[in-house]
Amino acid sequence: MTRTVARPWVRTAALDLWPVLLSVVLCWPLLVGRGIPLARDLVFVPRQPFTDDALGLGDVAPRAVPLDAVVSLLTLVVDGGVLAKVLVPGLLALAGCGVHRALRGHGTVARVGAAGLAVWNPWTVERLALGQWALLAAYAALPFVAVAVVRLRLEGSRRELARTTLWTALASLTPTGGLLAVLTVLALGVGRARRTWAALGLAVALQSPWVVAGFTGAAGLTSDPDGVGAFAARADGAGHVLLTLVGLGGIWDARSVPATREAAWATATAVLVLVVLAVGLRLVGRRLGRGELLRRAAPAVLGLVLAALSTTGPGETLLRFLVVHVPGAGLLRDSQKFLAPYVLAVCLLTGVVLAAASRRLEARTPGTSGWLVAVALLGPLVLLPDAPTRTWPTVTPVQVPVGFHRVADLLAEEDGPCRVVSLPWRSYRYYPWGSGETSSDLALRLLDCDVVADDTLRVGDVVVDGESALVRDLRDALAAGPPAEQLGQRGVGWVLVQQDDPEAAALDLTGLDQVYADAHVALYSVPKVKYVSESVPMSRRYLSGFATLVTFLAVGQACASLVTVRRRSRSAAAADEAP
Amino acid sequence: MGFISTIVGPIIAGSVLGVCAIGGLVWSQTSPPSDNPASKPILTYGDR
Repeated sequence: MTRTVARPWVRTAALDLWPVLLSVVLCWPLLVGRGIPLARDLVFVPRQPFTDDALGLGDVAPRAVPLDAVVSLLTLVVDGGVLAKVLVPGLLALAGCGVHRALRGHGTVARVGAAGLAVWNPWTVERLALGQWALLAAYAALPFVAVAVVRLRLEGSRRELARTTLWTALASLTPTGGLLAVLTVLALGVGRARRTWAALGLAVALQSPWVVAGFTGAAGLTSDPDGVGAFAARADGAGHVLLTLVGLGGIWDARSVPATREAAWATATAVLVLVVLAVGLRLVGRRLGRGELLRRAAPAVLGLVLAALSTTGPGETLLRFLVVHVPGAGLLRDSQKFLAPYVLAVCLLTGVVLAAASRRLEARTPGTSGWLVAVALLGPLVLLPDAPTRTWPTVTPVQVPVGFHRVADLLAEEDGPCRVVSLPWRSYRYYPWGSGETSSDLALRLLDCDVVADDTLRVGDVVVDGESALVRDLRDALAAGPPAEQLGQRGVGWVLVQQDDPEAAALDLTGLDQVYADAHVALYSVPKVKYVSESVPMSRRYLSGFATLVTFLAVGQACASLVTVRRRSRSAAAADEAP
Repeated sequence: MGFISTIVGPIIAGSVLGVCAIGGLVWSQTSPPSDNPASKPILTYGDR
């Protein structure tokens, strides 16, 4: 009897189905519903305009640089609602696909188990529930960065250099992801070969858009230290916060935590992870050697330490000092996000442990190890059975009332400078026609204008100030008098009133000219506007343009390099086959 | 036969049980919000 052996790519594609299925379950309402996701930090609009903020030239901290510019480019050709349906579940599935590819040669049980866990674990579920899809993009890219950069160090090939650069570019859509990718390249990749240093140089160069925006921008480089405590990791359940972090959870926001995490499940997950770490590290250490193990574990260990730092008294004091005195250290707030490499390391070690268990079972009783596949499939689901209860409300798409699009069209027709204040003055909004969750202001992404909205974040009773000097100025001005008197002299030509807000009725709009109004939104023009000539200096525009050019060159060179290498290997193969 | 008992069986069993577990839990726990957050004076970014 002959047994058909599947081709490697067929097998890999079949293994991809499990993480794809899991991410489809986590994002189900997004896939079946119509409209755009608008909840928590997850906001897509049908067509996102190129604004100064998207390019990092605005007045806000460059937290979404170059992400917003990339989304603006993509929504030129694809509707934002459709883009969200592809990107959010796609990136989540990509993480699982990357993890099982990293475990090539470890068998089906290991690969399926690790891939499933990479998609369905407390960290990804809590981050998705908060709507931070770009962080998930970095998380998805990291296993690919790690594999490519380790191969680059061992083989020194051009192809792996190009792959490292491209995956680092995906991770670098946000500053946090960029930092994680650079750390991974530094720890896993740098070796004697010259190309490994080139990989590090390119990874650093890819950070230039947000670095330049941060250092030349109008937003302050330091942040409110109250954010350190407000966004510090917290215990999901009754156990200690460190145990929660070890068990892959610990997001600061209680509303993003599935109910089962509050119970014994969180402790059970932590205990299981500790067992996986103990057994897995021993197995990997035996195979790779101590030095290599330390090198590969470094990003995960550092991520865990960073995440835990703000939960300790001295750590919080240190972080508060850094956030106030060191430019850009505000990135270290919400430190649980840095757990990403640790989560991936636990997934990979789970695969290694499952592979070893499978081998042992097979040696003892042939034919029984297949049942481990069931354990590998079920494990993540049993440990976090109610994950969709937190992700579904966030990803449920909504239909934006037509008035918002009318307002966007009206403002798009305006020539010259366009600055809008979004009222009532608050940073997070509740739209009665929405998904039932609060979300960041829709106008910030929808309008092709310089939209100014409150950037103060309220976390329970704690108020965390934003960084924008313009927002502070306008807040004080609006507290001092009605918009018609205060806004014109500050270059604000328009007032957008979100009529659904319970405080909208209390606004003093006398003296403003109504341009559009319906039940949900109203647009007013401000009389006697003193337009500021050019809000962004040309030198800043040139610097930002240069940073974008560097990024494009790095990514373009990597693409060209991959194509050249592939062509050469094809022609070499053809030459070998020739008689 | 071996292929069915070692690969196909566990995959089907795992998938069916997993989907049932998720479906049941989601069905039992998902409910519409009990109050309208807009009635609260302050909207928060999140809660600790």
